[in-house]
Amino acid sequence: MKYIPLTENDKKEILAELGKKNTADLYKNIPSELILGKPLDIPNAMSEDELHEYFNALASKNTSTKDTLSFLGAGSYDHSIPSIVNHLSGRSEFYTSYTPYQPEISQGTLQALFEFQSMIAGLFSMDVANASMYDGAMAAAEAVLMAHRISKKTTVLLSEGIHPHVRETIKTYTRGLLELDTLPIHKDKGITDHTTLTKKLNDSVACVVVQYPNFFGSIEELEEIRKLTPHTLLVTVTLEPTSLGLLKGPGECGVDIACGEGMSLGIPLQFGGPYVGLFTAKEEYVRQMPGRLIGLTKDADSNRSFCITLSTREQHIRREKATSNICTNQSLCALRVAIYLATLGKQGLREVAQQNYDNAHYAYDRLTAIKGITTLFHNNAHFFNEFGIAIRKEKNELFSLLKQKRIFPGFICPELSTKDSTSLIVNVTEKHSKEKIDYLIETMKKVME
Amino acid sequence: MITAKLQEPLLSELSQAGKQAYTLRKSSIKEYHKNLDGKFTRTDVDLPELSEVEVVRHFTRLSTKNYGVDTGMYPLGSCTMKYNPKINEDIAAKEGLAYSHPLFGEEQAQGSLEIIYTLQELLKTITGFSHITLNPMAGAQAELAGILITRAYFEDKKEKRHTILVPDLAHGTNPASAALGNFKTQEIKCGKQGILEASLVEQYMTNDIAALMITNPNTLGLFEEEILKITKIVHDHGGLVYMDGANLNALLGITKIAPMGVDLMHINLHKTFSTPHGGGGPGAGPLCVNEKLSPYLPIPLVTKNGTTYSLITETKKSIGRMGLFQGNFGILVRALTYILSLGNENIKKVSEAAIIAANYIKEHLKNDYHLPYTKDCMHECIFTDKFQKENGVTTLNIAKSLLDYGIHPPTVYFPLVVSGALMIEPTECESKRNLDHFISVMKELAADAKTNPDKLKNAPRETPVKRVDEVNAVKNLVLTWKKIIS
Repeated sequence: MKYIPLTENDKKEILAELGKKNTADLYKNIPSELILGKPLDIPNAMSEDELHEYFNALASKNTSTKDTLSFLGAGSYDHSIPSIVNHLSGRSEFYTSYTPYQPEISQGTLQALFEFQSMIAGLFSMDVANASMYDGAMAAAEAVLMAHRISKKTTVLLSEGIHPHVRETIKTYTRGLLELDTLPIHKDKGITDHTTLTKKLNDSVACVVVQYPNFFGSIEELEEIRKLTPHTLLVTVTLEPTSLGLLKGPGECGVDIACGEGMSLGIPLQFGGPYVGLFTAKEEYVRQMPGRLIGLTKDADSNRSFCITLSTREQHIRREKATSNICTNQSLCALRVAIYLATLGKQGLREVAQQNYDNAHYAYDRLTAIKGITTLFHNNAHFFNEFGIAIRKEKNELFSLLKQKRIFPGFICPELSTKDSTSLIVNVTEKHSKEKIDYLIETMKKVME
Repeated sequence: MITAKLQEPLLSELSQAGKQAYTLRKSSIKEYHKNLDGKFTRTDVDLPELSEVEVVRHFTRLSTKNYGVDTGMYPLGSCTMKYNPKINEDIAAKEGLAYSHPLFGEEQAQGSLEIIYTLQELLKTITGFSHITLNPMAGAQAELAGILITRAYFEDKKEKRHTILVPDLAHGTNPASAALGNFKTQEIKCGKQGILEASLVEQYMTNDIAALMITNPNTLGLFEEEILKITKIVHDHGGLVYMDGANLNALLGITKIAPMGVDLMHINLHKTFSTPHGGGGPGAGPLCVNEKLSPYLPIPLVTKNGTTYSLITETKKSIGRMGLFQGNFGILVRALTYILSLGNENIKKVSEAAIIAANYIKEHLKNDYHLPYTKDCMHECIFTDKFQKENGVTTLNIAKSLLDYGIHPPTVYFPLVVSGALMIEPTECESKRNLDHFISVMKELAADAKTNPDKLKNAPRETPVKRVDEVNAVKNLVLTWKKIIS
């Protein structure tokens, strides 16, 4: 076996030296009734050629965004990834290394993660960022738990503008510990209803959580919400961080804990993972943060160096008293994000955000001009690169026709659909050229009009 | 490489206004963003500006300061730093897999669902469990899922149990996961032989204990010989047994897990099944359970009806969703590739070679380093710094000295119950020549500890940076480059 360098002869010699008849002699203290008498019933070994053939066949059963025209977003966004992201993150010194517990031989990972923290904190306009969480949903759940640790209060007000999967994950993580209450969406504006928010605020509220931009693409008015919640922790979830190339960072709006999903920043769709959870906070709360933090320090010669810091919050030191149970995180994905942000830079991320905004608004204008298609929120002037539309139901053959043409016009949202119309959340990015958007419009027009 | 020792500037220091490392399509669409209300827009994005070649050199230079499995031996105990096959990366990068949107729908994702389903079936065969979820994105998240399932199970039975029994040898994630699931933890000590004693478990078992979390082989590298008695005692008291599968690399094809009396177990694909550690993730932590716990598994579930695969997003008793989509799919692809590369003819050889290598090291170093538990080990062995301490040399000094020989140190100071532990897990991926080299270096260090202890105390010398001051990092907390400038 090519992954096992010990030869049969090596093994024989070692066993003889150890005074053992065979390998089983080394584990004879395992109760005999637990020993497997026969080989495992798994397939025979495959060669590299066979593996490629096997997985090519499987890959061909999937639809990919490479051979379709997709406007699906809803938490997973198809953005351009510069070639250098794959090349640099594919250096095996990065991807075959362990968690950087030995800083002297991990400065590459450590400095890259320090830079990741710096750029994420900058993007979110927050004081500090950690070195990553599993994904945006889990990061949000941990943010809520952190708000509970800080406030010692137990009610959480969750906006209905938060991705349903994120809300479900928060529910899983807080069941039996915290009370979750929902803040409805203003039916006309597509953002969290401020009047209900004010009504629901009371002394037991640990935090208010909104998504920014929200699940329907609408831009929550964070500064307004901040004004309404002066004595409550404000938590935001950003699943589309390219928006922060254009929009104010949550920190600028006074948010206390801002988390999110970073896959938009250089990570491919991969059927939902691995992605990367982003986690930022005000500095005063840093000791309540979950996850790893990389800090600047110096070595014995006073040279600049980096290491994992504030570990006393973490499970390997603090065990049951740790701020979280997280150990392995999504380091390599964080590295990809760091490379992506360094590549795009100040101007590039701004341009990506502007193009997303422009393309989405162009598509919105043209789509809602089609007979039988209306906007989901009539008073919604502000969205980023996603928006909701309602499509009259009698034209439901539209979806099968689009599928035939390998067009996926958006995420069908059953919760918002009615007996007369199907609701769709449409995502448009910098990958959608004017020609692609026009093709979608013309195809839809033919059916609808 | 010389660049490894040169200080690499921060991106913020390399930044120069007006540079760019990207190209974007020229857009012919009108600039709608100019109409966006100024109350929403920011004036500046705090990101660096570099050209492409500068970004490439920066990260390439950083990579030379890193040590990976591809660089050399990585005998980190309980971390299973085995070789990460290159073909795994190529397979995961296939367009049909890497560019599949998680919400395209079942019909458009039959290939991905078949991959998940096939891996589920193989892992069930390997472990002997009847049910599994591949959703958890790391071992610790699987532990949390297991703990939440335990809670749901007892709530369903209307039994109030508040405590999880955790051996002192357990990984830190075990008690942390129990606490995150709102359980109290009760520590239980391992016996003189380095294993958990059934008689002690009996003393601790009450109707308040929901589950015992046990690692097998344990973190001393020893098989829990009394496992059958222990699981029976726990079950007799109505409790569940959770097994931390971090050390599964010792058991492949040798023993099945479920028949030990284990009710739930997680697997770390980034340990046993060769997916890269990536400098600390992403990993994946499949969770196996038996029949009676299957109704509580997190959603979504992947099933097969006839020849069609489907994604179940709602079940009556599920503990719920644990993340945005269906886990770290890209990691699952790599693990499946690995298992299929091994096949039935090789899978047992992995564990056997890992066990042989660990015992070989144990045998050869036992006169140079104190061996607290002398019996045959499984895939890892534990030494301490007891002999070296006589000359003021500690485990930390030994670890840092290994760096100067181009070897990654073993896991140190863990498990906590062994003072000055050096936990060595060579894995199946080292040649005899490499094992002999490691042994000779360790012997040399043991000799130096007597004759020239300062050599060890002042290590490392040859690394990109000298010994890093971790205390200073806490005292003067700097977590972003903005803090340096200000």
